[in-house]
Amino acid sequence: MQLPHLDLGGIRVLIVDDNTNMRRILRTMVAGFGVKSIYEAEDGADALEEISRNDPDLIIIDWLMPLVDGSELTRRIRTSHAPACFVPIIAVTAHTQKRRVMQARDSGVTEVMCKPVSARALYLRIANCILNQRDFVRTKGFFGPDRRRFQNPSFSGDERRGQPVDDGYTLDGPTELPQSHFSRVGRESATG
Amino acid sequence: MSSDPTKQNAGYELVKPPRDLRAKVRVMSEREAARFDPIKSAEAALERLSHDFDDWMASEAQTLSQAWADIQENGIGDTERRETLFRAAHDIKGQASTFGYPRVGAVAGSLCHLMEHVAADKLPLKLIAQHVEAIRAMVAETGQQEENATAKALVDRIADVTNDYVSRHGDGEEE
Repeated sequence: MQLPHLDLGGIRVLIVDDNTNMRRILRTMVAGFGVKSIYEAEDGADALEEISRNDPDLIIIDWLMPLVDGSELTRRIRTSHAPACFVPIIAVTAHTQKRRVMQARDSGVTEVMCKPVSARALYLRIANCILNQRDFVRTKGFFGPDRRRFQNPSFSGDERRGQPVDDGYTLDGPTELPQSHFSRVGRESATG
Repeated sequence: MSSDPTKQNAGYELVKPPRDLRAKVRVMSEREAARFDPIKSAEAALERLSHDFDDWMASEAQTLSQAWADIQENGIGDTERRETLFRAAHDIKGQASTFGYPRVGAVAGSLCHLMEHVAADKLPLKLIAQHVEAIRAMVAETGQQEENATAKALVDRIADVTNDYVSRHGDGEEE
């Protein structure tokens, strides 16, 4: 399937990684996609400052960092004030166990991506965060993106929260964007 | 920002993000898309960066060696030192393929596997040293010529020994 070619020049992206080389790789890819406003932070404290200073539209977070790791940073972002608490977060991790990936998801990230990172995988997730922006769920103990990627408006059965469901997550994340998003974006872009 | 009141009695509330990100992007016209492919553009940018990858790989291997030297000097009992070694191995595991060193990444992954599943007081220092030395040697001596048969045999052997050790002394948790 052909991915939509998006003009991403208007979005702001924050990259959080304690490893300088990995930040350069991610920055190079994101700049290659056409993003013009890219900010970097090397730890959680830096990241929170950058969020307050630059109000990013999307954050890419390395999961394993000293002091404030990706999980704790995500929790702090999700418990901060709007609009920062709604920012899509892409977690990047070298962990490959499904359990770890699920932990990242459960902490409130929007997408999980396993290293090594490819340009295609990263673009797909960024596009998905933008075109398929999810509602957020607030419960007593959780605030984060609705885990259900796709919602059926005509569904009338019982809610099944709390039960394991196949929600489209895999170790490699979504393989493609659903067709409906292309048509929706196409219509909206045609009307400006 | 708006919420879905029909869901509020079900123990959760659905909230729509206040910022519609679709308003900040634009789908390119066919003519624009023919001139600019974001993925190819990013891959080309990475390719331009790749002349630095050997140096970066060497720098990551050096960070791992330093973390290990610190443990050799001060013992493996300190959590912070172990975490520093683990992060260095984890960084290599995640980046080595991008740098053109997938076998080095496999050895680093094996070291992460060992440190994640074996308690600190049971960690085999000799086996850790062999991982660190293998990574150093493969980066220094084989460069990106990873098809080297010796390197492949070394990686396979380290993985076998590590898996055996983890199965006997590990926490029993499956990958």
